[in-house]
Amino acid sequence: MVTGASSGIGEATAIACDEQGATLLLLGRNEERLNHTLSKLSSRNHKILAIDLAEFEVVTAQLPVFLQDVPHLDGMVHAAGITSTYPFKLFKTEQLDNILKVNVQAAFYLTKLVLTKLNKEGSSLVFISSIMASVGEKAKTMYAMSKGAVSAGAKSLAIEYASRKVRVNTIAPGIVNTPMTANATYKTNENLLAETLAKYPLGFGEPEDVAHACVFLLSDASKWMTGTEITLDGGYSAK
Amino acid sequence: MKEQLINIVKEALDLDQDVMITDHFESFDTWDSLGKLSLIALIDEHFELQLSDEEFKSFETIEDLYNALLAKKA
Ligand SMILES: NC(=O)c1ccc[n+]([C@@H]2O[C@H](COP(=O)([O-])OP(=O)(O)OC[C@H]3O[C@@H](n4cnc5c(N)ncnc54)[C@H](OP(=O)(O)O)[C@@H]3O)[C@@H](O)[C@H]2O)c1
Repeated sequence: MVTGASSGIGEATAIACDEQGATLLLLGRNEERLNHTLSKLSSRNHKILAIDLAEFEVVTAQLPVFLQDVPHLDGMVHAAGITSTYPFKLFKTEQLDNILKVNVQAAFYLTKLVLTKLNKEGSSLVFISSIMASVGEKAKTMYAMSKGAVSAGAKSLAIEYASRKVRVNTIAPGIVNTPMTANATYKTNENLLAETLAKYPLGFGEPEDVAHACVFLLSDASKWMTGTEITLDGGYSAK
Repeated sequence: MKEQLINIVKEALDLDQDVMITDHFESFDTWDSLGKLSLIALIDEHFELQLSDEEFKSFETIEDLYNALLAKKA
């Protein structure tokens, strides 16, 4: 299962998993773009579900129906998420509520609902967190809080479910070229772009860079890894 | 709307002095990337109008911004 499969990192992950021969369940809000992702895949056995994962009542009602004919899940990549660039002095509890609802609650509620479907022989859950979970940038306080919660929650989940052969890991990307970052301030201002790029020894990432790490975490090549975060940031945080 | 915009600029740039519609953004010490980001966010919130960083480059005074907002609203 790949969430956020209608765009960016989720879409690239769907493509990479398809190339590895996986049968996929693709989730996102926009049905048209989910179908567009589907059109790029080689196998015809994949299924899509257009759903707002932060509408918990809808998720409660629709997800079990969607999963009915699915024998089991070998893994999940949760890439659905939103960002926010908001100077702290404009902080509002409603805005924090909203980002926590989408980035944190939706992630873990979905996980709870799929637990019984996980392959008893072993499965792997991957959450896309962010480098902002461990370093800071201006105007990123609320986003950082949400990603910090994802990274922290995943670790305890890894411990709680290790005996059930469920591995849980996170990926913490730096700036990746996706629709999410296409309109960011640093992309529309030359000086700021140069300043931001200078912080990235290997430049900004591409969605495939994250997708490949997802494939690794989903596969048995990482069978001894759980409760870990892979930092994927072109050297940004090594300085 | 003029008065409201001036108050928004004051909030975004942490100004407690008197601000005139003809004032230049560059004349404020707090006119930096974070100040601009705050202003963009407040304009979105109060007027439901989205301005890009690029558009801001052409505004020298608050009045330039005001005129651009009027044009967007129309
Ligand atoms: N791009 C970066 O620089 C970067 C860096 C670090 C971490 N990340 C994280 O990576 C993840 C993917 O980001 P991206 O760059 O690929 O962003 P993106 O291109 O904007 O894609 C976000 C995806 O999440 C889905 N989504 C958002 N809210 C949803 C909701 N309520 N219910 C269901 N789906 C929802 C979107 O669905 P629809 O489009 O169909 O609405 C879309 O498929 C996010 O968690 C983001 O925080 C990104």
